[in-house]
Amino acid sequence: MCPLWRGVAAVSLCLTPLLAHADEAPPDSLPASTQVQRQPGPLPALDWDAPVFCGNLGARRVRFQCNEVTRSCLVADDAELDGNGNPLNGELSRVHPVCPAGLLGVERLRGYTFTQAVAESPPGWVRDERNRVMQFNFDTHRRIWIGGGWSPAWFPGQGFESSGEAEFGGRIDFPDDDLQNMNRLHLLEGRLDPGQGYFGATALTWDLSHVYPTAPLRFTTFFGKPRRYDVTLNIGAFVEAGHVESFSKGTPQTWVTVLAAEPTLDILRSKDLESYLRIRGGPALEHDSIGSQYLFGVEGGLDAEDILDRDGFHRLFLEANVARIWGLENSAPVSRLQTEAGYEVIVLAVNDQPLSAVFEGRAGWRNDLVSQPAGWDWGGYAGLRFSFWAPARRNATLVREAR
Amino acid sequence: MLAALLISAALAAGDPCEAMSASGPIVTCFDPGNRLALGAALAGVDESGATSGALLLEGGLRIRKSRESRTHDHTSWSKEYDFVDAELLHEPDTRWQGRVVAFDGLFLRHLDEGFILLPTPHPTRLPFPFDIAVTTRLGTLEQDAHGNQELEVGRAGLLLDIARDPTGMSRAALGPSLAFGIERLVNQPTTFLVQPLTGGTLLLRRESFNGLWRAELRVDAGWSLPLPRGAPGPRGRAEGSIERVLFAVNDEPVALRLSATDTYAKDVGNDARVGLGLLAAYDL
Repeated sequence: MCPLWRGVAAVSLCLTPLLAHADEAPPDSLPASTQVQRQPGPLPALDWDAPVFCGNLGARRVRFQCNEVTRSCLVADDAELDGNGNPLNGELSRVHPVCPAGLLGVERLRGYTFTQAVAESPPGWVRDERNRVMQFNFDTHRRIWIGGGWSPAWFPGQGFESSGEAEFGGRIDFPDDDLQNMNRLHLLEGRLDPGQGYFGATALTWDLSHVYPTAPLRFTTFFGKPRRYDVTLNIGAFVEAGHVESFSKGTPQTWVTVLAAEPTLDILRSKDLESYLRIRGGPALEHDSIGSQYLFGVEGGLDAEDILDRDGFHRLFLEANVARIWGLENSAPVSRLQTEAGYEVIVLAVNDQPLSAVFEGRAGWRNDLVSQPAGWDWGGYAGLRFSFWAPARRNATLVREAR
Repeated sequence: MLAALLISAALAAGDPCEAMSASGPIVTCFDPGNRLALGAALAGVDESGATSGALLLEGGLRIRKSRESRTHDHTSWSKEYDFVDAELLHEPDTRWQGRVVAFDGLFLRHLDEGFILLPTPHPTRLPFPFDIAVTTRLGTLEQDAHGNQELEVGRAGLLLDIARDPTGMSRAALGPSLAFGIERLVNQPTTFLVQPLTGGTLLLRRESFNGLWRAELRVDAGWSLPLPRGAPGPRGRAEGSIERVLFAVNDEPVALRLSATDTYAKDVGNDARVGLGLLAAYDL
């Protein structure tokens, strides 16, 4: 019996002895005389969401997907092709792992049209006409990266300096099933600038955006007719542990934010919680290497991130941190402002791992360094970043034709 | 789900304490007799003729209950409790002053048709248009800006309430009271104060059915006898307030509160203050 699949009205390809009698072909083969047409324009792709069956077209191993309503089948090679269109050895990657053998009965095949296609590919992936698969959608919120570039900067008392910078980090964003929570983990994010004698990194940052089913704050007024005003407060959390800033020029000095815990308020955010603008603030425990002492302070910030396009190629980011720390011996409270804003664009991918260009501007004010007078510092960064992992985004779409 | 059903049922029944808006249901009634409250106000203070501005903080826990008598028909009991009813006043360049009442209770017996039975050979029932209440106040600690302190250990009164409202939303009660306290004035020996049923208590109250309005006046006054020495003299305190719920936050009311207090003691003088501010409550 041929199973019918709901939704796609696909016709399964069932083994049948009748076909073998008709064209003396193996039970799971189409007859060699079958005409496979090529439509003008890009080749269509098998549908990832519909069942796919495998068989033989003459000597070629092929993948089938048939539609009983339109009485048509898409037929794709079950292998990558060389430049002459001949199948290469090896199995196709990024296809459904299960491809049951099957074929329409002779009577059912009669009258069907067969169209040349490329094999199916999962969301975020696409095939060219040689059936080679490639990723075109990247989740920059799930990756490990390293990079390097040019980092000019101006510091009070030191003037302009130009040097090279290396950057690194890891990030994993994971929502829960019903997208009520988005957890964001940043692991070992930082940068190293030997020319400026700077090393800064954070061991772990975790933050949470939460979707409240009802407004957490609602006002009712009782002037005349009672009226209700709902206030949406998207309150979340932010924890930073092990943030190190080390300066080796002049008197070596290291500041460590041992732990900072801050409630957050999302001011703007996308429905998928991938893009956001938020403020945060809370207590922090810091350690200063000069006085070798632990200090309490208050930290806050403004963070924003926006994925500009559906495929994750363009990313804007902004991070502004303020801190005020009390308790230094013989010293006024420490103040610190650090901001950086930038743009990242994916330029190309190597083995489906994206290489992106990063452009960043930085500004800050601080009075916590022994070797640097209090004042503003300015800087920038332009470099390349190579990312590992970076799977397709969770909202990646299917592509139904070859590129 | 259950809450939604209850709200739907209430709306279907035309509950006057529920209204519907585009954002969802609105609670439109509050119970000023059952709440945890905290307020802040700007106050004007008059201390023996000297006036100044001050910050006034008020708060306390109030519980009010009533139930039918388990043993007598047409009879019900009302109980009102105030726990840690406090007001603190801060004037610039002076110490904090204030007053805290640890416990204030009122126990009222209500008869649907009150009467007095005359035990004559043929007993006669005479109409009696009052409810009978007992009020007790324990642990009232007060300190003024000069450092004078008074601890009223206890006060009890027997009140006749002509409002006859078992819900407690209305009161018009008056009756004699007795009290015992300890007074310690700056640079003076401690004195015990006794009001051996030489005092009286007046209690007036009116609340709107939806709790948006509330007005109350209480006067405790009488003739105090200082022990072991001193001359008897008048002593009293009147406190009144009017509240109007302006808005609610998450269905908890925030009211505009106008309050006034006047305290008189023969050996201390007259102190008065008027405050206007906001009172936030958590309905219990």
